[in-house]
Amino acid sequence: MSTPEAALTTYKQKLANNRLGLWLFLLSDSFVFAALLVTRFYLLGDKRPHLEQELGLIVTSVLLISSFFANRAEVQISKGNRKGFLSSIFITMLLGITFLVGVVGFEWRLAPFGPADGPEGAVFFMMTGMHAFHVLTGVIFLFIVYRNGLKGHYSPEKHWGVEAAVNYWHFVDVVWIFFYPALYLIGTL
Amino acid sequence: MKGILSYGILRGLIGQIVGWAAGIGLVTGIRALMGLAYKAEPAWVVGAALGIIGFLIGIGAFRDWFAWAKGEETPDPEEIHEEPGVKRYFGYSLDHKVIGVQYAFLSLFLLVVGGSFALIFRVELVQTGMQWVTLNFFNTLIGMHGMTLIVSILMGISAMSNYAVPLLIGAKDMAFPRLNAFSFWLAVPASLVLVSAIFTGGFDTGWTGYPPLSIRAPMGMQMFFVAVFFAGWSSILGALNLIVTILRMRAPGMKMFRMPIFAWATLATSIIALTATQLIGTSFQMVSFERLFGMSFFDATKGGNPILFQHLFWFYSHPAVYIFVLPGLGIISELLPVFVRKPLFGYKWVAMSSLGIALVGFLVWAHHMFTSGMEEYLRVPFMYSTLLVAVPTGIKFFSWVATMWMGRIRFQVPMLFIIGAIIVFLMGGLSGPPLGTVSTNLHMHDSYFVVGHFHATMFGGFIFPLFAAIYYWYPKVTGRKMNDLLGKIHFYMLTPGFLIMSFGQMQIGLLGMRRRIADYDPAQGFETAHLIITIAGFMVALSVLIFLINLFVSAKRGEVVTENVWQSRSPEWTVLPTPAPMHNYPQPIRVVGDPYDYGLKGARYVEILPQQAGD
Amino acid sequence: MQSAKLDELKRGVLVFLGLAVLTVIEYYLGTHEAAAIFLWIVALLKAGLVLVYFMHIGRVFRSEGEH
Repeated sequence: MSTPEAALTTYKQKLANNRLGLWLFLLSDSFVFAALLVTRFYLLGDKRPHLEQELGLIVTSVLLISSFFANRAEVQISKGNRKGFLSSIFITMLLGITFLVGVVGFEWRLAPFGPADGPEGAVFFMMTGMHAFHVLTGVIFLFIVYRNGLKGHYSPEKHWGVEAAVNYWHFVDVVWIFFYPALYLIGTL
Repeated sequence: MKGILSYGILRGLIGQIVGWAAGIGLVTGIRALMGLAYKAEPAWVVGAALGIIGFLIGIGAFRDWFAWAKGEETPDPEEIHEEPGVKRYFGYSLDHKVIGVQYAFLSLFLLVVGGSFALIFRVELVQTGMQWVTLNFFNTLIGMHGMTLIVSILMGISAMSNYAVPLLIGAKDMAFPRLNAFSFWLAVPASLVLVSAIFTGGFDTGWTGYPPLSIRAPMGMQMFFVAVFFAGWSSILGALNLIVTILRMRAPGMKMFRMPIFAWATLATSIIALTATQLIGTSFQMVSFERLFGMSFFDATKGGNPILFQHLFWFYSHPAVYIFVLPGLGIISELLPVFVRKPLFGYKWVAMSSLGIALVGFLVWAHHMFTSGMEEYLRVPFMYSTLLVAVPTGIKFFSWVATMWMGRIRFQVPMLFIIGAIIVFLMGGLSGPPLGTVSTNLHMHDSYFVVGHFHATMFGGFIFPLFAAIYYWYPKVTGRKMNDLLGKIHFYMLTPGFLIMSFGQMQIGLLGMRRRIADYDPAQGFETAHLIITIAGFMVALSVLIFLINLFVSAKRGEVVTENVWQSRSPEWTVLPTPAPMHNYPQPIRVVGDPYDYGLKGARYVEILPQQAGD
Repeated sequence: MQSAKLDELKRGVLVFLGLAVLTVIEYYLGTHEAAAIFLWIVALLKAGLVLVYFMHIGRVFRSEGEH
């Protein structure tokens, strides 16, 4: 138990457990978003809510770029490049906050309907709200990882915290990959 | 004061009260800043949610995770030595055996609470006209009976799988011990919130909470939604933990097809619970938001669609009944060979049938909606998929009968309950196809026939196997056997009592008694039938009371047992002493054979590895 | 192991470029009233790229350290 190799083997076993656990969690969570997608098509059919197209494209791009940096952060720490890892996590976090400001700060204000104005409003605010909640938790998760990274916590062999935060972040991105066309592109006004 | 506060549950309760008050204060404060007057509903919803979080903080469920977030290391669960004694059961413990027992207590507590609700409204139904309760209270009791017992069943299956699965598969503990404790302690405050629905106005929708009625129901509806949401998360996280445990923590040599059937059943159940449960949480959340923010998902007058709710709701709530029965059916297959002294017939088929039921279970939800006005072309496909469920279930029955055939059956108390489970579940199963077939369903929908059918499946698929499991594993927990005579009285009161109750319900259902209705026309002539059902219901309650007395008395006075009471081949009986030690399997074990080879010469299942090897 | 890691930064860039191109196509399709099925296909492709290359879904099925 006490030898470093034995400790590393135990860590690897736990890592595999953790990975499976996280993926099962994401699978479970994706059913929430699937339910919201079903709601959107059941209630609105091939009509889409009236939204700002440019803003939608901008926030989508921001989230995609943030996913790129999230991936970069994970690769950097696995190569032992602490500086690159920290700066990539930081950029991911900033882009995440930008996304939140874009959706909650701008799109929610610019939308021509409120949450209580018919099924369009209900669907739009529920979908973006649920997604924004996940983005917010993702940002918090990234911040925890960033803070621990500053303290020098992760190593190329042991960085499950980074992997988990980054994978969660990618998951939030995948959800938006489906929500973006469902809200902005599919159907007619 | 300090002595009392060392009981985690009390710290949790204080945390819940503080959190609840803080939530009410927070919402009222924000509304006051916005210039709005106090409004009860949003304040109480946020209060209930924060109360649950307060409970978890109070009991210390977040402590280690906060430490990790701050970058601190915490000791490995395996290296923590908890003080033995009763106190472990009243606080945050990481031992899966303790958590299993905690789950069982919560389950039995809710069983008593939910059962008492039923006794109250059964008394009301004896005569026509309203004698004892108001209409709103009657409706609240009906809904609370349903949901309290659903939560009780979820806790009960968690109890069985938490206690037994790691022992059966030769694991040291669950894959995520902290998450395990978290899942349990999440359910405790959620249950309290659920019960609080009675005191916050109640609700009149039944346990299904269909809108548009649930949009207009009193505020108890919201407590119900919050409680189900958090209890659902408890179930999801527990299922996640079980899947990882079963897939990755098995003892060396235990291939998938050497796993005990109960582990297979738990795996199938957990797959459903992990995914489908989100749908009930989401759909209830949407109704809750519709009430709070006026978002019109389900109100047809504002452009919503109530049928959507039923689709989302039944996508969980139908598979949920397989969540409830699969572990019980697994218990039947698990214990039957022990008491028949024969190998389980068709092991692989039984293992696969659980997964088959789980898979088909995802595709049948709309059979609850034949009369709802949904798209008509959905009726026939859902009828066929519903009837398809009978195939894997039939495999299980065939296996049980073939296992018992020519066996040396020992009629000990757990075996009695196994036989009872098979008979009662058969009654539940046979009353299923008339409900699954569209043409007959249209007549029997929302009648007491449904009630009778459902109770038969729940008793056969859960209650009887749960009792069997408790009688069977009780010595492993306490080191003492439960009293045989009381156990037999329990069985011989419960079985006829239940069958009379269930058949009576089916009969008056066919005559036109509608479910969830407080009063009925005396001209329909069911008064005698209702009286008999009520008496039978009290018989069931009395038998459960005898069981509970047995449970507590035997812990102190039961016959002491130290070894393999039931001559089981399972490692928790053959390898571990009785009662089970604090840490499972101090010596590593290896699986070298199949689990159910009873009566075969030279068959071996588990052996202790000779050397003290590291992991 | 080491050489695969060296490529990963580059691969990240390539995957990102793929995602960017797909997003542009998606936007074009969406604003020109293309059939919904094409948008779903693009979304599935994007999700697939992220799942495989960013989230490393293959790692779950690798059984390292299993006992």
